[in-house]
Amino acid sequence: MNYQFIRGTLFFVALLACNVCMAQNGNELAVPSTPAFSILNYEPAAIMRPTNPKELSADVLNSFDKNGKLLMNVGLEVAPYWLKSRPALTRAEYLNAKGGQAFKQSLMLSMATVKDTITNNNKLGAGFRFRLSGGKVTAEYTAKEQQLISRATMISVVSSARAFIQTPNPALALTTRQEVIEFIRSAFTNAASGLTSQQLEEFQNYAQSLSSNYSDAQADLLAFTAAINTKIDEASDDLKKEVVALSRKRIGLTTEIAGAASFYKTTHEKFEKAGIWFNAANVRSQTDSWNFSVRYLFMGKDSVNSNLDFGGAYIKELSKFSFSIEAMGRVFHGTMHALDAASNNVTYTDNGMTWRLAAQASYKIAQDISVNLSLGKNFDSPFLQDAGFFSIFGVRYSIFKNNKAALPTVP
Amino acid sequence: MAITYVEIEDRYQTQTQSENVTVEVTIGDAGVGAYIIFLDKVLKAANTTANLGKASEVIGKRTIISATIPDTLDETNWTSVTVYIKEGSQSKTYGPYSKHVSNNLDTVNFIIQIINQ
Repeated sequence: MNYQFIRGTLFFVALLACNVCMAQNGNELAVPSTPAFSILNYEPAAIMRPTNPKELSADVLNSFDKNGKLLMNVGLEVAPYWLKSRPALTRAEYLNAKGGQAFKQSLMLSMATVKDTITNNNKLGAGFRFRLSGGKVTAEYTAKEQQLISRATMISVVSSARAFIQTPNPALALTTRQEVIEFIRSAFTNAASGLTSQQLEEFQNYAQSLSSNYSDAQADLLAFTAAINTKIDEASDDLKKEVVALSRKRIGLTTEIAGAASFYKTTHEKFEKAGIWFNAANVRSQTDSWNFSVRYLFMGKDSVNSNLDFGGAYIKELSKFSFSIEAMGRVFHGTMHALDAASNNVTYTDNGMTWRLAAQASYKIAQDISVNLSLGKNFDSPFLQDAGFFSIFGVRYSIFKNNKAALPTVP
Repeated sequence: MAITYVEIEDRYQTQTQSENVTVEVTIGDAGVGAYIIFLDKVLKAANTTANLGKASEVIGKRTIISATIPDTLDETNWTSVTVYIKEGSQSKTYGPYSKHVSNNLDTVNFIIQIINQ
């Protein structure tokens, strides 16, 4: 091997090594999905997500031991608006909510406890997150929603037979499987149902394959219709998941606000740190978006450190290629108490402003393999941080990563 | 993913002889769903308001509403449906009928039978 090849290889290996710490993924400009966990930098193993008042009260009670002490390493995430049924809220109102309604339906409160194994302190984190606008759904979502409505119409038609199987009126009663099938078939073929010949054929296939498993007894006829519906419902599973996933992909302006604070439970000084996030994202298309964010973090105890981050990012996502660029500024204030060589108490203070610029491109080679290239300069910090430290300049190559051009973590 | 059936029976007292009786259905809890409306065994409408005909013609018959709501919302497992029967300027509300499902993506089918008198 010649000298230049060895030198080139060593240089590349060195670049890989110095960029290992950049391997975190995810859009760090977005507000944290669970602020209480984020402020503690901890994801509890057990997360309680009550969806009604009964579950909430049970979860709160389960968060304490028999002596009334708060258990450690538990998380609670609750959406107050959704603890009860909202029968007046239609899908359209939910999808296009703005202002007060957007706030109510998106407000999420979170809480977590953790035992710090190094300091032996118990910590409690609490946070909130809400939206003021959520953009609009895509045409793809609308098409999938219509498909799901059509599938639900099939189930509604089949279920309607249940009323006639159980009716005391002999003139209306359906008493055999053949009568049940014929009634449902006639509803499928009625133009008012809006169902297609393919859907009729699907129903008939299910009915034919299941019919021999049941008798003409009333209970069996009910079970027969339920079994047909289960088949229709199971065949709709992927469609339901697509509707759920697509309902989150919004076009237009989304604004989110989050806040969180953490506290010590076992020391005389209770407050540890607090943060507030604001994010405005404008998704211009499914491949093209920008966002703007402001984040303020404040830390107390032995040292005082506050950062005000602000900046924007642009992300372009194509089928194989994605690209992102982020520019952020940070106004920081740091104060640290220490002893000098003569054991005198001294205070170090550092104020100023720094900036961060990061760009990343990614090309997808195969389903789970992509080549990533990132360049950037991170914030200069008054205190060295042990995670998320971003190299001055570097090139990164990685495999077994997704192909999104995600930006490195903001320390 | 399972389907839960909720069956409800109620009565509607007609107010006039000549006014048209219409049935409107609202799916709540931000749900995506579908419904079908029968007058006895006659399919009147699917996913839209049904005109059952003149009040005198619906007496003694059953209005059957079969509404299906797959739970497609992460925020809640509640599903609900409300039925409005309108006759001229008068309106009567049935429900809201609500059901909380155990798991995301479960489906609820409400079968509401209203006997017209």
